[in-house]
Amino acid sequence: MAAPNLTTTLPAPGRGRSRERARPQWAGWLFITPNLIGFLAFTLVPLIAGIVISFTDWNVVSGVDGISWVGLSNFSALMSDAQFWKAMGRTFLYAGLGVPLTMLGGLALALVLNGPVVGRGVLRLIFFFPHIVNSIAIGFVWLLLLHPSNGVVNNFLRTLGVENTPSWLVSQDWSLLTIIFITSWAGMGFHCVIFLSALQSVPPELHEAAQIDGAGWWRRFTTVTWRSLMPTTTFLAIMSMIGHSQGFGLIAFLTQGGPGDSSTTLSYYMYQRGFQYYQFGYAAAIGVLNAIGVLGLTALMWRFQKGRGLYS
Amino acid sequence: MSDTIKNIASTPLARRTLLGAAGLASATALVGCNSDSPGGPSGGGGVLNVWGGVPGENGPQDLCDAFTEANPGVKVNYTRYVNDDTGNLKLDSSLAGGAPIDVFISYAPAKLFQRVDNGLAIDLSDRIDQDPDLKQFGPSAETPSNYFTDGKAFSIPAQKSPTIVVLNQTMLDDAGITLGDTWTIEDYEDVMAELSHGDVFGSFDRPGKAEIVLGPDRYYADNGARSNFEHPVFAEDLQARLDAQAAKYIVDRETVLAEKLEVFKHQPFLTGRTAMNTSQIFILRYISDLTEFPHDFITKAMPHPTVEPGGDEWGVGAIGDNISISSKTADPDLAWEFVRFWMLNGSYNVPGGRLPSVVGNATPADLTAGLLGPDREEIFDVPSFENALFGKEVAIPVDTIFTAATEIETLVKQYTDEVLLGTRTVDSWVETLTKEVDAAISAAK
Repeated sequence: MAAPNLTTTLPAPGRGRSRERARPQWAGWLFITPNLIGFLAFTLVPLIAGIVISFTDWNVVSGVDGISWVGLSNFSALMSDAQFWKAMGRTFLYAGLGVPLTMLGGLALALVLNGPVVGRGVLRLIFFFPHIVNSIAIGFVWLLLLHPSNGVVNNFLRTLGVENTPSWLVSQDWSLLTIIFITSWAGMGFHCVIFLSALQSVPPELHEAAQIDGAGWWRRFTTVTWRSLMPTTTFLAIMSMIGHSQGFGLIAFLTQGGPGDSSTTLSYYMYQRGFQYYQFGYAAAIGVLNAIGVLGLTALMWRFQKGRGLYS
Repeated sequence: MSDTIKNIASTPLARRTLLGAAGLASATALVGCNSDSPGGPSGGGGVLNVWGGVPGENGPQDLCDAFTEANPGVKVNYTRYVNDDTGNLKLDSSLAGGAPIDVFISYAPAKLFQRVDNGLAIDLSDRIDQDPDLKQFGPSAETPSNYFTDGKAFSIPAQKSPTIVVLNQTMLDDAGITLGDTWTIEDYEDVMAELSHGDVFGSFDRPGKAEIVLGPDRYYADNGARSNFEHPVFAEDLQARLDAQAAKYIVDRETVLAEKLEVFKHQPFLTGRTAMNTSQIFILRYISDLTEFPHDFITKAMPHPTVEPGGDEWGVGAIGDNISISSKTADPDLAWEFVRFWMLNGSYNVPGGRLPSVVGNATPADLTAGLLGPDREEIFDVPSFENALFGKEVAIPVDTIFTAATEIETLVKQYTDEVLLGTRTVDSWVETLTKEVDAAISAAK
């Protein structure tokens, strides 16, 4: 076989050569342009605008001309705003209970489905279903189930002999807890699917080796399974925390932050200040503080998981 | 109540007012008579963009089409925005951002004043004062019935909506109750108690006295400088609601919240769970709709109860559908022609449950017929509606102060819910609301 003529495949020297090098760069930019435009238009610019607006007094109705610079006034006003701190506390409770509940529920489901279960594919679909269903539809179903006098849940509790059944979404004591439960229930399927795929990628040899060494189920779970799942757990915890800090749809539909203000989290308070009272500078300041809080917690989580995973 | 204030803010709905006005035929007669409709052709061409909250098919689209027919060459685009938080924000950002809007309608006075304060509407005072058909809404009218900013009118209310009481005639008959033409709140409470049995609540809620006793700006004292919740009538009203709820005469707050009945309070009435409801007249739209809300009883109407028998008191209800011209319209004259047409042809909106503020020479019977629809004899006690809507002169209070109005409404709802759910006392309601509303008023100034 004749040797290939290498000279014909080499790039030409000089300008032609640099043009050859430049071409792939243009192609790369071309490929990312649609996404970049979307990112700039719908993420970066609003993000920067939101930060800028947090230093202003603006009611939208006045138009762009009506924006007035107030420096840190919105932030200092927030520091003495009792409603803000109450909403902050509720958001911590919402995320502090909701994130672990969603993750533990998702993990438990994934562990069950990772075993020898009949109809695993169907069950996986069933558990994943709430994740793809519209949150309003979910809220509507739970409204019916949790009706204080005619709901299925309280009727069932009454058959068990419970006399003072909770009023769930219309009780100041129960409304936030109920929303946490519903949000977690709706998010478990997604967590389950991600955990399941992570579980299935754990090499079976590790379990076999641990078993040969005499490790029981719990020991194998803590040393092999849990440590293998650490990157996935961190990812899900961060995503879930961000989701909870932004939780709005179910609260708006189910309770509108009430009764009273018992389920008003930071997101809903931000909505009230912005969309109901037209205090967009103040609302943006709430959003900025919320984002800083989430960033801080994310950094903490990231730091916490470092060195704890099986492959770290 | 000061007579002067009352006169300035009153919107009488008396027969003599109706008969004295000019311009309208009945709703039925008007549809199909577009070329003869008041408002007059403009003679020019152009495009008008109109934003309103009522679905086009409930009257506005026919009215816009009639304007086009009367003004060949003028195209009217009617855009419906949903009258909620996001819908109002959409309108506001569109107005502020310069979207092509010539005419818009505001439904909450607080929103209207916000738009006016930010220069989004043009001053209509001179046009209204100089218009013989509309001058009753101008600042120089003897008894103007409109919202004003610094003595100027930036809108005209196209609708007035007295609050009436609708009653289930079958339940009244079963209880052997016969009612006269007027009644007091005490009478109402007696009827409410008599009609309550088993799963049936006598009334959806207990009507309050505060609006009747205090009239306009009832939440404010000292000309808007502070809140007015320490006035004893507020605590009296709330305690009366608590008592009625405890006696199961009105729907309990838990159920109201669980079923979102504040928005859908026609539902318990039309399904026989409540025997009476106080409501503005938009409820007639639901009562007439036997397909969506099938029911087999006749609905009777009574005027809103008074505090004293036949007393000279404030009525309960609202003026509304405030129509304004955008300050960014390219053709204010054409837009004004449209506003006039809208005002003088309000009967197009009557089948949608809206009582026009300019009724022309339509009789109470015409208007009642238009509001109750073609099947009225099978669904309504028609004469009782004519009596409830037009039988007694009603002075609807028109608020003039809107400082932190949205915040105050939110706080009132929040703390009232807490009292009715049993987690706050009436005294605490007064104390907390006073403190927080005072703070909101101070912050807004």
